[in-house]
Amino acid sequence: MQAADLSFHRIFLKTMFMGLKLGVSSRKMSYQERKRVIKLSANIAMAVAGNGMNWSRALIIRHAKHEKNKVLLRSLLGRKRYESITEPGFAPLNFTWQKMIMKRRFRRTNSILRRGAHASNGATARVIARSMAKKRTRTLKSLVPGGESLDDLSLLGETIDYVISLQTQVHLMRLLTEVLSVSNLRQTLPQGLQGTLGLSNSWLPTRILMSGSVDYMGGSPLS
Amino acid sequence: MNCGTPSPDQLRPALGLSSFNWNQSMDSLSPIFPLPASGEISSFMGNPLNSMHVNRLMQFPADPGFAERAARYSCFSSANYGAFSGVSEAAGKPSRVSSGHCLKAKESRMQLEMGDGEFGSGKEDSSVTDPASVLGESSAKKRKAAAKRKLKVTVENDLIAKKSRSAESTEIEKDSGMPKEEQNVDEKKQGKDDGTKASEPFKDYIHVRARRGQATDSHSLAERVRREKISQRMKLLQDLVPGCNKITGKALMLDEIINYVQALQRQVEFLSMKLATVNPGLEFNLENLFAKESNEESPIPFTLANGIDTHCSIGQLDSILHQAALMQSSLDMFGSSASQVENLWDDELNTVLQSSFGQNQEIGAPSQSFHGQLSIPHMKIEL
Repeated sequence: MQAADLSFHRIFLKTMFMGLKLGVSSRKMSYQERKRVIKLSANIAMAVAGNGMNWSRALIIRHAKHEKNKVLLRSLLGRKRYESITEPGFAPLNFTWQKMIMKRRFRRTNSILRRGAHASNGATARVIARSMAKKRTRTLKSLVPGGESLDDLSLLGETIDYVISLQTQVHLMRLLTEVLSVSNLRQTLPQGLQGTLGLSNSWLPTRILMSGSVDYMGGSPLS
Repeated sequence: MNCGTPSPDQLRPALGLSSFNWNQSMDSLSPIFPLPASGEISSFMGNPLNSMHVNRLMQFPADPGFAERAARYSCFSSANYGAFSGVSEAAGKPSRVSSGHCLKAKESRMQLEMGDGEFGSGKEDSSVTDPASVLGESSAKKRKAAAKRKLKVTVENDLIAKKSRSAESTEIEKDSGMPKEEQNVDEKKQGKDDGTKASEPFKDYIHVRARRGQATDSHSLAERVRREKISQRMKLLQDLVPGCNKITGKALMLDEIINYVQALQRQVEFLSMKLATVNPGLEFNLENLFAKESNEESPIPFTLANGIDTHCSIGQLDSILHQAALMQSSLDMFGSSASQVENLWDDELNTVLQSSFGQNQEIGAPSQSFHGQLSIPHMKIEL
C-alpha cells in the first residue's frame, strides 16, 4: 500500500516537473501563458499517474486537441505513447457529436410522451426522480473526462477514481506551492532575517500565512 | 467521515472496488458481490458480525501508520472541501485516530466477510508480486484507504476469480438465472448460506440468489444485481465526498458529487494560478528534492547533491521521491499529526533549499526582480 501511494505521487510529481521544466521558459513568459502551462502539466501528470482508466486517456486526448499543447505533450509522453493514445481507434470515444445530439433529442421526446401518457399514475414521483437523476448523470458525464460514452455503472466507477486523483492532485499542488513560495522567501531575505523569523527551524502552519505579509515587507526595499 | 457505524454495505464496495481497475474489478468481483448481495445484505444488518468485527479491531492497532494515513487521507479530503469542520487537520489526535480506526473497522469487517464468506480459509496471501503488478496502474489513493492484508486477500481472490471466468458478468447473470431458479425452488431463503457459496466462485457463471418474496426471473435478478452494484459505488462515493453521510437518494448524492468535482477542478485552477505567480524560476525544482532527500537519508548522498548539476535523471528523482514518501510514512508511524507531517515535508525541503540555493546565486536575481510584483498577489492570496 505504501508503494502504491508512492507510485502515484511519484509519477505525478515526475511528470509535473518534467512538464514545467519543458514548458516554462522563465524569461519571456507572460503570466497567462505560464498558468496555462502549469495547468496543462498538472492535468497531464494526473492523467499519466492514473493510467489505465478511461478518464486518463480522455483527458490526454482533450488536451492534445489544442495546437499549442501538442509539442509539450509529445515530449512529455514520449512519441510512441502519444501516437498510440491519440489514434482515433477507440470506439466509445468515437461518438460524433451529431449522433449524440440526435440520441438525446430522441430520448427526450420519447420520455416526454411516455410521461404524458402515464402522468395520472401514482408513480409520478418516481418518474420525476428518475428524470432528476438522469439530468444529474448528464452533468456528471460532462464533468468527468471521457464520461459521455459510459453507462451508469462505469461512470460511477470512473468518478470515484477521478475524484481520488483530483484530491491527490490538489494536495500535491498545494504542497508544491507552499514549498516554492517559501523557497522564494528564503532566497530574497538575508540570512539574518531568516533566522529571526525562524524560517530555518521548525515550521508551523501559521507561518505559511505569515509568509504573505513577510513577502510584502521583504519586497519593498528590493523593488 | 462516517465513523460511528460503518455499515457492511459500505465496506464491501470499498473493499472490492478499491483493489484495481473498476471495470476489471466489477467483472471479477461479481462472483463475490451477488452472493453476499443477494443472500447476505439483508442478513448483514449486522449482529453476527459485530462481535467478530470487534475482535478484528483488536488485531489492528499494530498498524498505526495505516490509521494515520487513512485518517490523514480522509482529513485531507474534508479539509480541501472545507465543508467538514468537525474532523479537521487541526483537530486533536483522538478524532483522527478514531476515524482511522473506523476505516480499519470497515476494512476488518470486509476482510472478515471476504475471507470467511466466500473463499474459505484456504486462501493464504501467497503472492504479493501478482497483486502488486496488477495494482501498479490503478489509483494509488484507493489502495491507501484499504488495509494491506485485506487487499492481498481480495486481490488474490479477484485474480483467481478472473482466471476462472471468461464471459461478461451481465450475460453470465442472465445465464445463471435459469439454473438459479431450480436451486431457488428448493431453498428460497434469506439466509447466509456462506458454506454453499464457497465453491461457486470458481465456476463459470455468477450465482445470484433470489431473496425471499422477490421475483426470480433472470431479468429482475440481473437488474437487482446491477442496482446493488450502483448503490455500492454510490456508497463509496459517499465516503469520498465529505459531508455526505446524511444524504440518501441518488439524485441528491449525484448533486453533491457534481459540486465536489467542480470544487476540486476550481481548486486546481486556483492552485495553478498561485503556482504561476509564486514561481518564476522553476528550474530548481529537481534540485530541491534531490538535495532534500540526500539530506534526510545520509551525509554521503548529501555531498553528492552538492556536486550535482541541475539536470537530475529520472532514476534519481525516483529514488528521491521514494525516500521522501518513505520518510513521510515513517513520520506517520510515529503518530505525528497530519499538519505537522505536511509541514515537516516542507520543512525538510526548505532546509535543503537553503543549502542548494547557496550554490545557485544567479537564480536569485530574477526572483528578486520579480519579488516586488510577486508579493502583492501573494499577499492577496494569503488573505
